Amino acid sequence: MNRWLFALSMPVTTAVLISSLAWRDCRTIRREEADRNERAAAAEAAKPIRGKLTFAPEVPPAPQRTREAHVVVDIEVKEVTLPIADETTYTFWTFGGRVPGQFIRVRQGDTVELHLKNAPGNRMPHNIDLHAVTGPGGGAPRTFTAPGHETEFTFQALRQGLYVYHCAAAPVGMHIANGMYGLILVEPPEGLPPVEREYYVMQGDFYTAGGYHAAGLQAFDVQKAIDEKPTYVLFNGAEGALTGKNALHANVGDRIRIFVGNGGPNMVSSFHVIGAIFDRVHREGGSTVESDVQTTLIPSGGAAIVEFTAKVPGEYAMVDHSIFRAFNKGAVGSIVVDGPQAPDVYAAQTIERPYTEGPTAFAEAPGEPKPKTKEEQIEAGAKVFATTCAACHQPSGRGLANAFPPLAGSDYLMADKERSIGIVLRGLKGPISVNGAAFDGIMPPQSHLSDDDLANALTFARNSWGNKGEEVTAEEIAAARAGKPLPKSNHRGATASLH
Amino acid sequence: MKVFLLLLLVSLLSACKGSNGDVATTSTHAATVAAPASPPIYPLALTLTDFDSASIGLDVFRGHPVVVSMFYGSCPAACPLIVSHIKEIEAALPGDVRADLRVLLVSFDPDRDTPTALHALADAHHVDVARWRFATGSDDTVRQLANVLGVDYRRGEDGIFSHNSVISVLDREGRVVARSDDPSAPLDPLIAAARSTR
Amino acid sequence: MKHRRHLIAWTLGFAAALSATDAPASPAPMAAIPAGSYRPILVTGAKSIPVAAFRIDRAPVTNADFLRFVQAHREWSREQIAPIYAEPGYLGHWQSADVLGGAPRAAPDRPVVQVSWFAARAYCVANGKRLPTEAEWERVATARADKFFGVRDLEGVWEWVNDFNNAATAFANGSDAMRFCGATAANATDATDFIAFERVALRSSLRARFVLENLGFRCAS
Repeated sequence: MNRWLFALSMPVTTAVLISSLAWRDCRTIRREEADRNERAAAAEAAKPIRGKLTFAPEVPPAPQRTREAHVVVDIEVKEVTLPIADETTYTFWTFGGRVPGQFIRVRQGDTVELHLKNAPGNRMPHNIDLHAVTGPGGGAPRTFTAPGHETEFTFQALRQGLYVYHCAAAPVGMHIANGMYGLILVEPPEGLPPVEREYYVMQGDFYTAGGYHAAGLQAFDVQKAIDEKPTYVLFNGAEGALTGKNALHANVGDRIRIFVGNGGPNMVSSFHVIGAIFDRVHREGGSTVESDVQTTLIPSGGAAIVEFTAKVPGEYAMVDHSIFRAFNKGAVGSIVVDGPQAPDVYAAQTIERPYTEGPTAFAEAPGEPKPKTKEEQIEAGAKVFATTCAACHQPSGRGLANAFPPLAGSDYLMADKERSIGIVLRGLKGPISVNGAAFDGIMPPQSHLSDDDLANALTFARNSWGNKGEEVTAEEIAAARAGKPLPKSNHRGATASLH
Repeated sequence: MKVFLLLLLVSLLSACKGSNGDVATTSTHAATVAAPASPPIYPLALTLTDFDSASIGLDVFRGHPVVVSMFYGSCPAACPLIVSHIKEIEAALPGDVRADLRVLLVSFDPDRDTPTALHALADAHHVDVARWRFATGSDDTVRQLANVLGVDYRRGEDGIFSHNSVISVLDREGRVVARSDDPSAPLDPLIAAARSTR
Repeated sequence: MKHRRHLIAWTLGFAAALSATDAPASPAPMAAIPAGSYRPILVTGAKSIPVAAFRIDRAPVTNADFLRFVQAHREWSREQIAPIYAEPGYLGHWQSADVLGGAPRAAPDRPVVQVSWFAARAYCVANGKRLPTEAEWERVATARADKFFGVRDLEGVWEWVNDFNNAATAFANGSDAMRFCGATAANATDATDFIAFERVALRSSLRARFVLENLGFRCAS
């Protein structure tokens, strides 16, 4: 037995020794497997993906990625003649064929491989400077491209934010003035919070030889550009690009996010949506978020992200609030919001009534109304009469036959003070006889006038044109208004307080 | 005891199984790819004059890998840098590759860079004249060569040239297989091209 | 005897008149540009560059002209040209290597385009001429030579010049100044002359092999 054991122990020991050298316990193997899977996933994620670009006002979908990627972006420069206003065309230099250029959307940390193609029919060389690039010229020196050729360069999107890109080929001002700009959004690693609507708007100023709305093909005017006197200030490259049938749309309750750029070349934008307050503004497209902003400044060569919720249906105008640009140079766009009314937020009904000079119906003098002397009441009442009563009863108090009864020497008026108080407060309809003449009209209530005004006017009428009668006091009016019995007439002291 | 040992053996053999084989990791982007080789430049058939006053063709070194660049002798700064960069490239090569390598430096200033001046320069830079050649040609000739190599230059009023610094590596048939126009960039792609030229 | 003298005098006079009208060895009529100067749009030093007297074609080289050239010099035809001398699009607007065809840009009297610098130079050399220098071309353009010297079509297609690859134009394309030896800051002399800027910018984007739909040439001597 021992001999067998000894004989067996040798190979067994050897086997144990050998296998222990190659021993990989479960944990090591699982860890190696996890490492391999991780590398495979990284390799998969590192496969270049093609960036999806869109034309304004559309925005590409958010990248649904949790890690960086290698994104290939293809942009073609085209020099094209397009409408800039109804009867006016302009030769734009564009990224992609339209102004502004296409919207690029990547994620912080992405490696972007940008291919710039210059269409063979173009006359000019072009390049691209992206403000999202850290490196000389933002990419411009590496992408200087002759017509009919292509260049490429690669950069890492180090910082999140909304960045302008533009052509930087000489003469740079002219390339930008002709429309060579667009936006690139570098999302934070966790992505922007989702919203219901995202839109792309970019402002630019344009300089044409002819004036605003001069018809036909217009040439670039370099002197106007140097003097910074644009002919047009536009959203998305043309008048009407965002109005009428091109207006943006949203529903009540939608959170709307607008990526707003300003290509310049010269003007700073005072961006405002009429009727809305921006809940959040990523100021200058960076990481500082401001709340409750009415109008945000967007520098030339800069951008901002504005967010607001549509609460009330209707049409909202986007403007550059340097307001002559909106009305006289075209810097206006529209957002049309559909959905149910929100009367608590914004009352839809318009109330309209006549207004004449003088304090409004509900304007109350501070403090208690001071009692006037009768003379003072008559004087004050004359003014009220002139502006309110004289229209019908005539300044002479004589009224109009068959239409408006006279007050001068009117038996009807002087016979009953309470009755005339009731009439001025509640109006009068139906046949009456005044000084023997029949009247059958309608007097509208004058209850919108103050107690003082009514008291003074009645006092005036009861003491003018030969009428002589007791004054009417504001308290009497107030009591009648409230439906209470009239107070006894107040006997004033000899000394009445003066106003 | 036997059973115990047998159990031990069995447990050894049935050690924890991972997934079979490695997951194929696809190679993603290749390492910096050398640009596709240009067409050969030797058909340009230019005639140059070298520092020995000999008339040579552009293809004087056909059959060898060649480092070619353009300069001018009175250059205050960049051109000594070009020479030093080329020496760095040489130093990084194995002895047999270096022995096979040739260097052609062409001046775009034929007025001042006469054969004598070129020879003095070669001496001053201590280059191996067995493998290095300094040369120049007519204005028309050097303009053509510059155009083929992508060298931009202009003579200023004061005789100082504005020019970029381009170092190119040609294969044995005269195709440009590597090119650098950035003096501050690492020389590795040029070294690699010189080393691997067939 | 008297008749013969008259005949000789008349013939000499006629010949003199002929030579005075610039009857050239090559087909294209040329204009004589006197010595002068021009102001470059980008200056690194002197604001005024002297230009010696020279002659320049009155009009760009046409498709018909260039067709004659490639027929006489087959190595410059589309089929045979060495790749080092031109990109694949060389003379692509012609119907074939030897036939212009009906495309508008291939019309016989239109300026030839899609030619590289090497091809343009070869044409001029074959005609006993050369490409104009940038200084010469700019002198003609800025001196309103269309008005004064009868030089035409200066604002049609772009045109090759002999030294298009001069580094002073590097700043037009935003290159790193550090990569240019002898570089100094270039200042614009006239910020409103954007046409001149455009020419400078276009030239600085070119390589000698390039062919462009909008790039032709004329010769000088």
